Amino acid sequence: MSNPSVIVLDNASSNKRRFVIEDNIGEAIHIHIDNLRIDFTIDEFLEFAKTLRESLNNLEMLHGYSPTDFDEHFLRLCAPCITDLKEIVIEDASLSSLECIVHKEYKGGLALEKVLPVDQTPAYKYLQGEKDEFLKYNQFNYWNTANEVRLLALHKSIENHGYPYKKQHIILFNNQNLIRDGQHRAAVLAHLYGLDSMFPVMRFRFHQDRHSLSVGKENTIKTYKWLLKKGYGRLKWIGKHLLGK
Amino acid sequence: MRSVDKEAIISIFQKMEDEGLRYILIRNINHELPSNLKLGKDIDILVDKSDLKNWARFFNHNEYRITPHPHAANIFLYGVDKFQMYANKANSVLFDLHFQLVVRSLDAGQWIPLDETIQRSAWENMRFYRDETGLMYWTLGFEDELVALIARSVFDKRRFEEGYTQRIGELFTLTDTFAMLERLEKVFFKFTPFLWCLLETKQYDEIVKKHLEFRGY
Repeated sequence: MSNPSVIVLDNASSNKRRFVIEDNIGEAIHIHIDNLRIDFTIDEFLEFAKTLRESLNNLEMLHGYSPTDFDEHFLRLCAPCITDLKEIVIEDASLSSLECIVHKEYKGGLALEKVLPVDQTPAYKYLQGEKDEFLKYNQFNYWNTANEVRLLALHKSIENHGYPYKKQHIILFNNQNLIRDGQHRAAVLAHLYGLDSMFPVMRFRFHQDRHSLSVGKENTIKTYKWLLKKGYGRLKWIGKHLLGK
Repeated sequence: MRSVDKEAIISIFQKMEDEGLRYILIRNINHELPSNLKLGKDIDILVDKSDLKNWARFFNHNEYRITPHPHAANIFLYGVDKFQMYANKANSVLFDLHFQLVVRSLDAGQWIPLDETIQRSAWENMRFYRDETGLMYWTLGFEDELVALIARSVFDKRRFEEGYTQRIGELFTLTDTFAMLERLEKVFFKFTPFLWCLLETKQYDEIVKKHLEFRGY
C-alpha cells in the first residue's frame, strides 16, 4: 500500500550506501539500510534511539560527555568526525576573537560561505534591531521553529539560565576560532554582555588536526561543482533543443 | 481576471456525453464550471488509460491539441501514469487528463496513487451531475470526492482552502461515516479517527500540523 505521508527524518546515504530514516505517518518509522528495511512504532524507535545513546556513552566516544550535552543536529553533522576525536577541552575565549560561518546565496543557485566576526552575523544584527537579513536567512531549524522564535527562545534561556546551560557550549575545532556550533549563542552573549567579554568555549581536538575548515577551499569546490552542473545543464539543453535528442 | 467561455465548457462536456466517453471530473471547487473558470486554469478529469486513443481522437476532432504538461518532469511513483494536457487555443479550454487519483508525497512531492480500493470505488460510484446552466458531467461519488478533497488539502496544498472547506462541509452531510472512515484509513492509517474528529469540529487549520505531529502508532 502506498503511503504519501512519508517524511524523511534523516538521510545519511552516500554514493555507495543507503541509510534513510522515514516517518510513514500513521503507519511506522522505517530505517532503510541499503535493501534492508526495519519497521518501528514510535515507541520502539525512541527506545532504539535511547539504546544507541547509552551505547555511545559506554563507548566513551565523546570523551566524558554524553550525546545530550550537544545539539543533536550538530552531533549528527559531526558523526563522521567522531572517530578522529582525540579530546574535548574547555577554555576561555573572548567573543571578539571568534569567527562565524555565514551562508550566502548568489544568483543561479550558487551558495557560498563567508567568515565573519560575531557582530556581523545576521543573528547579532537582528538582536541589534536590523532584522531583515536574519528573518530571511536560510538555516537549519527544528520542526515548526522559525529563525526568530529560535533566537528569541535562546536569548530568554541565556537570560534565565546563563551560559553554558546543560553543558552546551560554543564549539570550535582544533586551533581554529571558527564557531562550528553555537553561533546564535555567541550572538546572544555578544548582544547581552559585549564583544570583549570572555566565555568558556569547547574545543574539539582531532587526531592530526583533521576536520579543520578552509572556507576558501570549500568555496572553490562548491563553485567548481556548480559550474559543472551548470555546464551539464547547458549541454543537456543544447542536446534537447538544437540536436533534438 | 477573465474567465473561460462558459458555452465552450458546457459544449465540450455535452460532446463527451454524446460520444459516450467514460471520465470523471475530479472536482469543481467553488462551482468554477462552467462560468467562473479563470483563463489558464485546467479542468482535471480522470480517464481510463485504455481509452486514451478514443480521447486523442475526440480531442483532435474538437480542435484540442496535446500540449506540454507543467508537471511532466515530476516523479510518478507506484505505477502512476504521467498526466496529459489538451488545449483548445480558440476557446482556451484546458483539460488535464489523470489516469489515477493521485496526491503528492510529503517528502519530495512525487505523485503517488491513492489506495487501489479508492481507485476502484471512483469508477464504481461515479455519479452524474447536471445544473441549471445546462452543464452536465460525471463526477466522483460523495465519499470518494470527500476523500480526494481531504487528501489534496493535506498532501498537495498543505492547507485547507476556503473553497475546499466549504465543499468538505457540504459533503459531510452527504456521506456515510463508516464508508468514509474505511476509505480514509487507506490514506491516513491510524491518524484517521483524529482526522475525522478535526473535520467534524471544523478545525481545518489544525489538520496539517497534527498530522505531521501524530505519534499514535
